[in-house]
Amino acid sequence: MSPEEMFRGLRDDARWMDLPPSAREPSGRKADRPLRLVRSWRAAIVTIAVGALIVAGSLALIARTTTPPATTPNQPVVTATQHPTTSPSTQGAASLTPQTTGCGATIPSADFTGLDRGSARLANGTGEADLRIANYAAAGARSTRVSARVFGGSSTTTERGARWAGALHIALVRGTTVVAVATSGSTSGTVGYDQTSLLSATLASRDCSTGAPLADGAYSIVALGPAVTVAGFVLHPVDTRRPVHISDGVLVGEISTAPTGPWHGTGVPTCGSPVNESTVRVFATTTANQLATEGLEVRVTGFETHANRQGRSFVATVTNTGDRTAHPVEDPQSATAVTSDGRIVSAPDSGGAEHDPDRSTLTIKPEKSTRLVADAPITGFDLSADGTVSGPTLAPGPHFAYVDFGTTTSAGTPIVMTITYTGHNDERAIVNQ
Amino acid sequence: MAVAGRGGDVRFTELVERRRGALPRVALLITGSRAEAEDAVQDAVEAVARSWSRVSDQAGFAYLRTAVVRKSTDSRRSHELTGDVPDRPVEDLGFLRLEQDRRFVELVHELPVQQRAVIVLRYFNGLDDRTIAKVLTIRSSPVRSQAARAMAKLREANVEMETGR
Repeated sequence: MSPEEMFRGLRDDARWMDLPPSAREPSGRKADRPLRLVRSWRAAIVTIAVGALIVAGSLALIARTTTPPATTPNQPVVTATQHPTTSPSTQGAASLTPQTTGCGATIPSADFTGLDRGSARLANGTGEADLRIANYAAAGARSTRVSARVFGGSSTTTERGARWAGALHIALVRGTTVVAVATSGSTSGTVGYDQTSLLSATLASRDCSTGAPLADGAYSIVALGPAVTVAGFVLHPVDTRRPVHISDGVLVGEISTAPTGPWHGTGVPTCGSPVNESTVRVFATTTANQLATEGLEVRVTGFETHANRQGRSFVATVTNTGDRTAHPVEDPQSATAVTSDGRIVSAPDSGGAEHDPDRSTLTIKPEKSTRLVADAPITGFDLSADGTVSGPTLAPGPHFAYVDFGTTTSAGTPIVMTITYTGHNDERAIVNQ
Repeated sequence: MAVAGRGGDVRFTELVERRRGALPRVALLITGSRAEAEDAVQDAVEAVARSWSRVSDQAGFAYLRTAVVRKSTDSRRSHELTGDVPDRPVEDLGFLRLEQDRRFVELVHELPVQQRAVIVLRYFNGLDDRTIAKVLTIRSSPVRSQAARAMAKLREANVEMETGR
């Protein structure tokens, strides 16, 4: 069959699927979809020919049955089957680090210590390098897909510029025992420059040791950083844990330990003002579920599963259904900007930066790359800029974040950046390069 | 899912709702992964939402489709650059009902991403070469040559598959 015919068939199927159910089946025959065994006229001819052979064979058999033969003939058996619409889920565990992530392995709870909001820091070799895995989210009810955003940074300049690469290993843990494992595709980045990559893997819904469906109950999603190579040495896997819950064999989502955090977006009333009468569109760094727990009615445009992944923006209409008020603005003077080598270039209370409490702005003058430090976890960024800014690379961390302005930023172009901290909201930093 | 809002928001939400089947399918044919396809659509929806006030009613779907195609090709390219070309069966969105469909789409995914995008837009979406060129920000003549090369490869691969070579 020609590729054109195959595409035509796919297009016809897609059009059929787009029809309302009532229009799909004018004859009233109950069917999810017309049974289609063949795609082209050539295949149809073959099918007809096979059918004719069957009929001929059957007639011959009847004739022979009527006049009993001396021997029993071989009756031709022709079956036509439609292939299943879904294929079994696959998972890969081959490259997992055996001592920590293999099926049935025990992950000591000590591995989870010292973690903060899905991030971990590694002391390694000659320098201190981070491979931080942030923004975990269990997908919604549709699948056991788990995503994590990964970025590599460094608090020292030793490894800056080194490339890192690897895959994310994800394990579902009950207690301290791994019951399902999966490996994402690989990604790479540059230490200190914090490219973020969204990695995903799909966990099986059966216990990898026993094959039994996963029992209802509380589990942990453990994302393990790969054994990535950075500047000639290997970072050890990073472990972190997020609790999830399984109900009726389905991973129903994250029971977040993260605070139901700040949110911001276009049209969101300014901090401290009540969200009470209007609908607003949100490009949020929190999740739809989290917004909903705050007494807000959230209607998502797009995929709800995406809206419930932390770290993803989504489009939604949010209506306040209660007396919820926006997070109050706390004193933004706790934010400090430092350069990549740790030097403080501006701090609101040191006179190095301008702080306008009325406008909730913080003016900082960073170098090409800078690191923002706060006294509370940084949960998100938003950015707007005039001029020819190609967009900095932003990556949230637990209490600090790297901001890399790239190479094409025009000098003097003001960048207005909204940095969202836990407990703070809508703080804006105007960054002048 | 979706709804309410006012003015342009309603139009946008309605458009996304109406095309929520079609857009992921195009993305799936380009990316080969359901997850990536959904990510591409989601990213496109978000990006278009931000600029929706500047989009006319007539151009709405074309604008959104262009965004989805570009996100899908970008996503694929970045995976290919990092060597993460998945060795896995095509994850379905429910419309690859026959085994031969699935095998065919797997063949499509062996093509370079731009060739793939060209033939998906041309033969699955039925777009003319000029429109394809606009969507992919290339000139029309490469569209023709890419399509010809892609179809030749598919024919060859298809013959091999059918004859079991």
